[in-house]
Amino acid sequence: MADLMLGLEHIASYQTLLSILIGTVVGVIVGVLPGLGSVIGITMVLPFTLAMGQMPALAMMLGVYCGSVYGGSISAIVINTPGTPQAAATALDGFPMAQRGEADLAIGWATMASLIGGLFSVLVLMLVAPQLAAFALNFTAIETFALGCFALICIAGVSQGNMLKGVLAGVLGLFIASVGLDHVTGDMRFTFGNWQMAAGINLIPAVVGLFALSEVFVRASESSLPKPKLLHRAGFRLPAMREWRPRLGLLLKSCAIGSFVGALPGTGAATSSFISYAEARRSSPRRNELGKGEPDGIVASESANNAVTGSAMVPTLALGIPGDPVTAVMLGTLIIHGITPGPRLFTETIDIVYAVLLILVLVNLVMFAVGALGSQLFTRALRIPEPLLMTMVTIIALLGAYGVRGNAIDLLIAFIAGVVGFILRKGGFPLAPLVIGMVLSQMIENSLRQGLLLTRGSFVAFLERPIAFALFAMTIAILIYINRALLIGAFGWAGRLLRR
Amino acid sequence: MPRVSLAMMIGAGMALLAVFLIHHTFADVYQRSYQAAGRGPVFFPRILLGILLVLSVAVMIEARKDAALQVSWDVALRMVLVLLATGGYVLAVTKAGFLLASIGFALILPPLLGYRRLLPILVIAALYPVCIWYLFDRIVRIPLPSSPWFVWF
Repeated sequence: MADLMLGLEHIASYQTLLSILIGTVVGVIVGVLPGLGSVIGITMVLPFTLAMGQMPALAMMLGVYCGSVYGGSISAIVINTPGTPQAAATALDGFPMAQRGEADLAIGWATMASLIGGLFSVLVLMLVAPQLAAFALNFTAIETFALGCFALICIAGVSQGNMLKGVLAGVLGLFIASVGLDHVTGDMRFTFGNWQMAAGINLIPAVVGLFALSEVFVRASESSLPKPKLLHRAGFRLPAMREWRPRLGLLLKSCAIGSFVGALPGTGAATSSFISYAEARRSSPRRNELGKGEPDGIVASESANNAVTGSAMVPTLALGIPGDPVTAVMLGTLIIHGITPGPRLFTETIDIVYAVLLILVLVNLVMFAVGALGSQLFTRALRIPEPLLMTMVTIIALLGAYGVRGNAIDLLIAFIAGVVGFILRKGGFPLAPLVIGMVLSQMIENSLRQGLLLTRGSFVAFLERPIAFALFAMTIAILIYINRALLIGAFGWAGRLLRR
Repeated sequence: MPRVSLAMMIGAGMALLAVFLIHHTFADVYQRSYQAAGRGPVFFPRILLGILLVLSVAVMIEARKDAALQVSWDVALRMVLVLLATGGYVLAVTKAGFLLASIGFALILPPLLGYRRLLPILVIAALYPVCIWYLFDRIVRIPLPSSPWFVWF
C-alpha cells in the first residue's frame, strides 16, 4: 500500500498530468494519419522527453502509445484507410457504418471498446508482471541466454512477411548492436579506427532511420502520388446500454485475446485484432452481419488491439525483453531516464511499476475523453498534404536521433539506417526483428559469456538446466518449423544425390 | 539475362558482407586480446556472422523464384533526389546549423514528393523549423547544431 501511495505521489504533478494529455492527443493524431503508426509517433516525441523528468517522459510515451493504437480506428472508420495496421480489422465494419451515415456511432463503439480493452490490459499487467518477474529472479545467465534466443526467434518467426527473412533481420540486429566497445574485454569491434563509433550504434537513431526515414523513402518510391480521400463526417455518439448487453461476452473474450497475444514476444496489436475478429466471425450470434457494418466487428477489433498496450509491457518491464519496436523504443527511453526494466524493477523500485500502472489507467481515461470530444477535429489532420507531413516528420524524427547523445554521427547513422530500412522493406524483410535484435544483443552476448564461464566453456552443460532446455527446445522447434520447406528441399536434394 | 530479384541481391550483399567481416575478425587487433576474459571480443560476433552467412545463402536460394527487380526511371530519379536531399540535409545540419538546414530541406522535399503549391510550402518552411528550433534551443534548452555564420542560431 505504501508503494502504491508512493507511485501515486510520483504521478501527482501537473507536468505528468499535462504529459499524459499532450501525449494522448499527439498519439491519437499520429494514429489518425495513415502510415505513421506508434513507432514513428514515439520517435517524434522522443526529443521532448529528453528534457523532461522521469515520470512526465514516461507518461508522454505511454500516452502516444495508447493514443496511436486507438487513433488508427478513426481513419479506418472515416476513410476506410486504417491509420495504423492495428486498426485494419476495424475498417471492415467501421467503414460500412460510416457509409450508412453512422460514423459517429462507429467511433463511439471503437472508443468505448478501446477504453475497456486498455483498462483490462492494465489489470493483466498488474496481476501477471510481478509473478513473471518473481519467476525470472531465479534465472541464471544460462536461462537468460535461452530466453533471449527464444524471444528473438519468436519475434522473427511471427513477424509479417517471410519468416526466414525475419530471422535474418533479427541476427543482423544482434550483430549491428555488437559494433563498438566490447563490454567484457574493453576492445573496439568493427569500428575500423573510427573513434566516433566506439560508443556503438545507438538504438534510437537506428529506429528513427529504419521506421521514419524509410517511410519517407518508401512513399517517394511509389509510382503514383497520393490523392485526397473522401472524408465521411466524423463525430461521437455512445451506443446505448441495451446495445452493449448482448456484446459483453464478446468484449471480455476480445480483451482476453488481446492481453494474451500482447504479452507474447513478436505479436502485436495487429495480430490480436485479427485473431479477435476471426473469433467474432466464428462465435458471434450476429456473425452473418459481420463485414456489413456490424458493431461486433469494431468491438472485437478495438478491444483486442487496445488490450495489447498494457500486456505488451509485461515482458518489457518484468524481463527487460520488448515484444515489438514500440516497446523497444520505450525500453531505450526508460534506460535513458534511469529506469532499468527487469525482474529487479519489481523488487527494488516497485513504486515505479505502480506509477506506470496508474499512468496507463489515466491515459486510457484521457483517451476516451479525447476521442469523445475531439474525433471530428482530429480527422482534419487527414487534410494535411502528405508531402508536407513527411517533411515535418523527417525534421522532428532526425532531431530525436540527434538529441539522445547530441552527437552528429547519430544523424548519419539514422540516414544510413533509413536507406537500409528502405531496401529491406522493398525486399520483403521485416524490420521489427532487427530492432528487437539490437535491444537483446548485449543481454544475449553477456549471458552467453557468463554462462560459458559457469559451465567452464561447455555448451552441452547449458542443456542440463530444465528451464533453459525447454526454452532451447522451443527455439529449435520454431526454427525447424520456419525452415521446413527449405529443409525438405535440402533433404530431398541430398537423397537424390546419394541414390545416384 | 538471368532474373535477379531484390531479395536475392540483398542476400548476396549480406553474404559478401558476412564473409568480409568474418575475415576481419581474424585481424591481429582481435587476436592480441584473446587472453583477456577467456573468450575474445569477436567470439559472439563470429557466431552471428556465421549464422548470417548461412541465412543469406538460404534467402538467395529461396528468392530465386521471386519476380525480377523492375525499376521505372522517373521513380528511380525521384528516389535518388529524395535520398540526396535527405543526405544533404543530414550533412547541412552539422555544417550550416539546424535552423538554416531545416528551412532549406522544408523547401526542397515537398516538391520532390510531388507537392507543388508554393504558399503552403513557404509557410511550413518559414514557421515549422523556427518553432521547433525555438522550442528546443530556447525553451527546453536542448542545444541544437548552430550556424557558424550567425550568433543567434
